[in-house]
Amino acid sequence: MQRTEVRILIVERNRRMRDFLRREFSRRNFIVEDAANGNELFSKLDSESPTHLVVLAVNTPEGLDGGLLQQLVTNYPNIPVILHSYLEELSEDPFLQKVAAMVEKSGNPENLTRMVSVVLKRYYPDLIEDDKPEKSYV
Amino acid sequence: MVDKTHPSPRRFSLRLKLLSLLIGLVVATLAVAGMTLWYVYATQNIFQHMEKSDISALLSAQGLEKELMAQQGLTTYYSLDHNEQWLVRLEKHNMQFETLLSKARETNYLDQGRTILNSIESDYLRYIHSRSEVIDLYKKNHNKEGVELHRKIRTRFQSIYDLCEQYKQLHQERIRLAAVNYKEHAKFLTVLSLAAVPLSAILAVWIGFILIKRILDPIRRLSRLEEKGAPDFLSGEMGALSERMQNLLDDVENAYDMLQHSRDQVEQSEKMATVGKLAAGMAHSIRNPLTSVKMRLFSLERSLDLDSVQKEDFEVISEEIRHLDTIIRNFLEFSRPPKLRPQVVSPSDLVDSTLALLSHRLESCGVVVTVCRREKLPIVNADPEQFKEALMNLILNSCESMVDGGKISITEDSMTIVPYGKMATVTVADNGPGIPTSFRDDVFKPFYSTKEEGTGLGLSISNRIMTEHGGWLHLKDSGVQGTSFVMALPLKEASTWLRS
Repeated sequence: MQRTEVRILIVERNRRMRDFLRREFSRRNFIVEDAANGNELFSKLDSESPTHLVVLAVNTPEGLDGGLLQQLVTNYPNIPVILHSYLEELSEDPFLQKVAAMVEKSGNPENLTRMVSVVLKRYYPDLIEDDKPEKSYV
Repeated sequence: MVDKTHPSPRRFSLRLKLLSLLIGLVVATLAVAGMTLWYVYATQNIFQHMEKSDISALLSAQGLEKELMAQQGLTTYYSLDHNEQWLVRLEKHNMQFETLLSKARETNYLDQGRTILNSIESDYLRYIHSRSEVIDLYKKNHNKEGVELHRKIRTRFQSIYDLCEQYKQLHQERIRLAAVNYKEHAKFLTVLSLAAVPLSAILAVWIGFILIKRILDPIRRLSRLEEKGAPDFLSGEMGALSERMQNLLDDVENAYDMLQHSRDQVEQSEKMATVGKLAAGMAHSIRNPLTSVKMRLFSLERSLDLDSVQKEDFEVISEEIRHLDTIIRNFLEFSRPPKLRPQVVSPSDLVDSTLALLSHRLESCGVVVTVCRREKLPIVNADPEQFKEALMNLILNSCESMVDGGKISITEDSMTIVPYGKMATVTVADNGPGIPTSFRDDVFKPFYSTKEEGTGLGLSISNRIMTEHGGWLHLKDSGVQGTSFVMALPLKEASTWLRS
């Protein structure tokens, strides 16, 4: 399977950050969907197009305390979730153990894109070909 | 507390003094009361005896005299008119005389009195016999012989009368002696009372004086809190009471200070919690767009080909955003402190690991750190990460204050600090320029910084961490020779109230 068949769902409240991440992942040939809140997230997950990975920022209205992560990992256990968050935002939610990975929000998006590749390889080894080194713009 | 009581071995204790005086007073009072009772009893005996014996004997003697005279008179009347009625009355008086004589014998208790009564009885018998002869002569109308014999018995009558008088005088003398005896007793009792009353009064005044001077006055002063320390002259029980009272007052004062301190802290915490909650929400809202900005800058940096001036501008923008991010992160940490995860650990180990973490930074700042440690500090209950953060903030502050490098000394010690108990202390001292005097009171206030790019939260966070550990952070000294801070933590044995 090619990356153009891998669908990533980005859940982020901040529209500009959401657009930026969409652009970054699209440039890496992923199919990118986005959601601004829990409703949009589950609506996209329940659509006919399969989602392979969710990048979840906990600054959505439901957040961690609202039980969004709990619903996600409980109802869609086969979809890996990468938590994209500030460390201070993380509480002692037991469902944090069920996420595939955590990446601290920073100015460098490559930390996230790198982690997405790692997780996809772990969960879909036959889906993702060995990554060529990302084109560095730095 | 300094012991201000000076018990003197030569002086009696207050308890012994009071007991002795009370016993003296009771003995004196009981002695007087006992003697009075004895006196009343003795007086009663004297009067009873006098009434039963002497006065009765006196009355008997007077009665005998009266009866005797009556008999003599009735005999004379009979000689004049030979009326038998006089004889009947004479017989009555005769019986009265015998009754009185018998009564006198019963009440008599003196040998001399018995002798007199015997004489009266024998003389009276002879007198009756002679008188009967006289009456018989008168009855037979032998008046001449009767008058002759009648005249003769007058001598006998006089003799009995004299004996009665003698008997009366005997008991009068006894009454006089009883009166003398009574007077002697009364005199003794008066002397005893004269001695006992002033003694009792002196003892009572003495007790009163001791009660007022040694007990009531000190209690009044204690109750009015006039004395700052125990009065010097107090000893024994009052000294101990005064010392206990002072200790109690000191404890209350300490407890009040601690309570006030805790109340201030609670008020401050409540204020900070409210302000922090609002500000934290705001900081969080700022942080997200800031991250978005950072990401866009990152993206721009990848694609733009900038000249040197543009590059410098770009780097300044990036640096300022990083600074903003640091401020927000510190603020969020301050407003939502992580929960303490205490472990049993020696502060010495935490000092070592903090210095290891900062070794490169210290080297780059040109700062030399020396650790003064006699032996490893005893264990405490502390969150290692948070304690290290508190210490790190102090060391980094020192580094930043010493622009051209300098020296930091870290001194470890353990001591007992009243009323907190055994504490471990870590003193961080530098030889930097010091904190200006006008800023010293505010160094622990949040967002208060003398540094151009400081967040003003480092010392506040360190102070909060130490307070949450049941210890404190204290600005010990600051001047041209440098600044020193003391971090204090309760040792594990004393750490019974670690707050989380």
